[in-house]
Amino acid sequence: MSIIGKKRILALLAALLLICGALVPAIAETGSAETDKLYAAIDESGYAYVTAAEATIFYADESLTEESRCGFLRKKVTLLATSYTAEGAVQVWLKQGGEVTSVYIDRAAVKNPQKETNIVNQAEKAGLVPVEMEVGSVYVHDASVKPLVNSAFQQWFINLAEDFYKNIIEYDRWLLLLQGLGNTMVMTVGALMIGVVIGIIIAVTRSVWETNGAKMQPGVGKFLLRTLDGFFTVYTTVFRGTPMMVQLLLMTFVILKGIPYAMLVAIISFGLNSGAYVAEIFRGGILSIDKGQMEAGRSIGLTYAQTMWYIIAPQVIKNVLPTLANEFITLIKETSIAAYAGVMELTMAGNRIRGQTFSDFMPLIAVAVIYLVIVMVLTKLVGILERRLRQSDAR
Amino acid sequence: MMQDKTMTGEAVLSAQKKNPLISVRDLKKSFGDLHVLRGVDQDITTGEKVVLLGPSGSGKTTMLRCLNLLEQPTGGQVFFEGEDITAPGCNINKVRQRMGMVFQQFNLFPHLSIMKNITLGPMKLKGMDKDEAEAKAIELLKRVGLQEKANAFPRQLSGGQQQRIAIVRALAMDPKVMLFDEPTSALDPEMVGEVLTVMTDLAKEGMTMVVVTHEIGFARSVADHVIFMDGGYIVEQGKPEAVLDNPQQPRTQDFLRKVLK
Repeated sequence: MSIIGKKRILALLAALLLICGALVPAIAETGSAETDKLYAAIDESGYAYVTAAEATIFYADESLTEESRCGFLRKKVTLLATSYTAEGAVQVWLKQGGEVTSVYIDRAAVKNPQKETNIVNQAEKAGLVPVEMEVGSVYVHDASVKPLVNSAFQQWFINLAEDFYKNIIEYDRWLLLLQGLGNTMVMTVGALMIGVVIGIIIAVTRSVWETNGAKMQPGVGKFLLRTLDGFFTVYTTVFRGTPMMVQLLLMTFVILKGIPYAMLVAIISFGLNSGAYVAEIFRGGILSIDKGQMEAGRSIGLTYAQTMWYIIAPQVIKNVLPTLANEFITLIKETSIAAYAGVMELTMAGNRIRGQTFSDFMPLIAVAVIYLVIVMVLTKLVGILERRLRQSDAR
Repeated sequence: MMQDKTMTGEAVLSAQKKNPLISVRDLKKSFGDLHVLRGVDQDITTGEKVVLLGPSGSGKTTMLRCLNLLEQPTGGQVFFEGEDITAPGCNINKVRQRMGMVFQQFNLFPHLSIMKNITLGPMKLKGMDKDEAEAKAIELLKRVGLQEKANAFPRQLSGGQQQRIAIVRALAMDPKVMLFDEPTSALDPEMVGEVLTVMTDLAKEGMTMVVVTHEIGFARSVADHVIFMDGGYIVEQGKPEAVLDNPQQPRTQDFLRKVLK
C-alpha cells in the first residue's frame, strides 16, 4: 500500500472518530429527552428518593437547619441524571428554571432501604446509567459543567478531562513536566556528546591497534598503544557489562559523591556509559570500510592521518550516523533512571505530580506520551536521514 | 608521465640500464611462516614497461606492492630514483607521491565525486589550488574519454569507467612510474578493452609501467620486459617474444599452456 493510501485511511479514521465524538452527546441528549422525566425528592422526614415523572419534589437547600427542614421550598425541577459517589452519596443533576445544578443526597441518611432501592430502580427504569465515582474526587457545582452523564463513555471522558485538568493544568503543573523534559534533553545531549568523544577516541585507538599493531616496531609507541587498547577493552567490558542503574548509583553515592550537582553527575555517568556503546558503533563503522580505501589513500602519498581524515572518517560518519541517532533515542529513555540520583527529569516530574494529586493514571500516562512523541518524532527524522544518506550513495 | 619524447629506442633503454628508476635487491616477504617472496632482484628503468606474470600465490602482486611499500618487505632493499625507500629514515609518503598505483578493485573514494577523487591528492599534497587541479583533472579525463563524468560519483560508473578514473587519479600526481595490480581482473569481459586501451596509450606516451596481469595479449603488445614468477622467485624473464612464445622453463610453459588455452 502506498504512503498516500495509508494517509487517506488515517484521515478517514480521524474524521470518523470526530463525527462519533460529536454524535455521542447528541444521541445522549435526544435519548434523555424522553427518559429524564424523573424527579429527585427529599421528603419531610429527611429521606431522599427519586420519584417518577411529573411529581413535585422538594429541593434540598443545604443552608436550611434541621428545624427549618419542614419548611422546604417547593420548587419544580427536572431530573437530568443521577450518579453515585464512592462515599455512597447520590448525586442528582437537576434542571431548575433553565439552570443546571446538582444536589447530593447522602445515602447514609436514607434509613429506609426500600426507598434507596427506589432511587436506583427508578433511575434505571428511566434508562439512566449509574456511574461509580472516584475516591476523593471533587465535583464542581457549576452550571457550565454539562451534567448529561448518560453513558459510561461520556462519564469516562469527563473524568479524563477533569483528571487532565487537575494533573496538568491546575497550578501550572505542566510547567513541572516541561522543566523535567528540559532536563531530560539536556542530560541526553550532554551524555551523547561525552559519549561520542570517548567513543571516537576508543574506536580509533582500538582499530589502529587492531589493523597496525602487529606491524609496529617495538618501542614506546607500540607499548602505549597496547596499554591503551587494553585499558579501553576493560572500559567497554565494564560499562557494557553492568546495569546503568548500578553505575549511576555508584557514581552518585560513591565515586563522585563530592560533586553536589546531581545533574552533572548523571550527565557524566550516562556519558561514560554511552561512550562504551558509541565506541563499538564507531569501531564497527571503521572496520566496515574496505581496506582498499586506506591503501588507495596511502598510494597517492597521503599520510595515515590524512587518509583517516579525508577518506575514512567521512565514510565512517555516514555509515554510523543512523546508529548514533538511535543511540540518542535509547539514551532519552534511559535517562529516566536519573530520578534515582535526584535529578528532576521528566519521569520524576510525573512522579512529583502523582505525589501532589494522589492520582497515578494521568501523570504517568502524560510522561509516557511525552516520551513516546519525542521518540516517534526522532525515529521519523532518523528514517529521513537514512533515506537521504542512501540517496547520496546511489547518486 | 607525458615525457618530452617517447623512450622506446634500444639505445635510450641501454643507456638508462646503468641508472635504473627502481632497483630491487634480494627482496623478501613472508607472512608468518608463509614465504611469498624468497629473494628477488630486478631493475626497472625509466620508460620501461614490465609485465609480471605468474600463477596465483606466485608473489607477483606482493612484489608489486613492495615497490611502494604497501607491503613492508621482511628483507632486502628497494631503491627508487637512487634512494633506499626501505631505509628507516625514508619518508615513504613523499616517495609514493611519485609512484602511481592502480588496484584490482579500483578503490575509488565512494563519498567523493570523480572530480574530487582526482583533485584530492594534487590539492592536499602538491599544494595546487582548486582551479589548477581541476583544469588538470579535466585534461586527464578528456584523455580517457570521461570528461562528462566529472561530477558523477563512483557508484554511478561502470567497472571499466571506474578503473579509467582510478588511472587518472594516479596520473594526476604526475608519477614517475605507474604500478598496476591486476587492473582488469575485476572487470566484466566487455570492459577489459577500454582499460587496456588507456594503458596502451599511456605506454605509448613513455610512462614507466609495472603491470601485474593475466592479459597475455597486452603483455605481448606493450611490454618491453616480461617476468614470470612462481613460488616467490623470478623463474624466467626477458623480451615478451622470448618468454611468451618460446619459454625455456617447464613451469613457464605449463602456466602459459593453461592461460592461453
